[in-house]
Amino acid sequence: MAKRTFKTGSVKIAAVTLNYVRDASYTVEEDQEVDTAIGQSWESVTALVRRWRLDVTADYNPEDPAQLTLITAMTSGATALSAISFYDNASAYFTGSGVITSLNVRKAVGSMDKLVVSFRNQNVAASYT
Amino acid sequence: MANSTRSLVMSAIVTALEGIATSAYVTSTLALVSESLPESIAAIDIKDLPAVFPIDADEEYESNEIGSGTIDIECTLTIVVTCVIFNQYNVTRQARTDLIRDVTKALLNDAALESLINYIEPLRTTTDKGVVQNYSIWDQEVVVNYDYTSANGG
Repeated sequence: MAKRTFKTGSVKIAAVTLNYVRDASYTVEEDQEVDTAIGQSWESVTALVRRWRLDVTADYNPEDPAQLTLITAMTSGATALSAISFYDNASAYFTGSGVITSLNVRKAVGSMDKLVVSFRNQNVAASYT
Repeated sequence: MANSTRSLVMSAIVTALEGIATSAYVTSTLALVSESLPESIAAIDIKDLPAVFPIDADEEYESNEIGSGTIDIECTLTIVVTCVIFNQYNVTRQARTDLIRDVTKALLNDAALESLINYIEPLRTTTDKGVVQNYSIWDQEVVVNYDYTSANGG
């Protein structure tokens, strides 16, 4: 089996690939309540709600359609997006509806301009296909 | 096969430096722009001075995109321009400081070079500190940053 390397994988916003991505991190978390009864040897937890978040860093280029979609959504449109997908290889991906939680454009001498954007889920379960 | 981006960058560097003699500044007039630095400064004919000798030096690489299907590389290439001037009376400060400025100005304002790269920055100037009588010799280093993909190898 081939290793999954950075040659494959992508972030897509409503099926449109976000280009120039340098780093993408997808995290699913679950809140848990400890409900261990007195006298038990092992801790017990009850599963509560789950959430996911996606953090992406890309070389900044507002001419990229997906980057422009995010900039427009965050500045003058709606932050809710119907399909945010994180492909860990060419065909397998996490996806779900979400919102943009932050968008940062960074310029610095001696480096490429960067777009740093974060998403989180919006009341819909994530899926992995 | 087309030249590599590194080669195209060097061609643009040479052209920009050659422009110093004709238009970039009023003070410095270069007699020689060459990529062949002689082993000895004394081997350079006096009539060929002031002279500059650019060379593409060390380069660092960094993968710069996920999922494009190729390996995309961001390169940071150091360009070293060795500059040599001569004065029979060992008075070189004016010509030296003018040429340092002119080389910087030529390289940092060249549209053809900028079209090939992401950015350019001056890095350092290293001089002979006056130890070579009648000559002033120094290296001016700039870094240029450009991209290529594994599909064309650079």
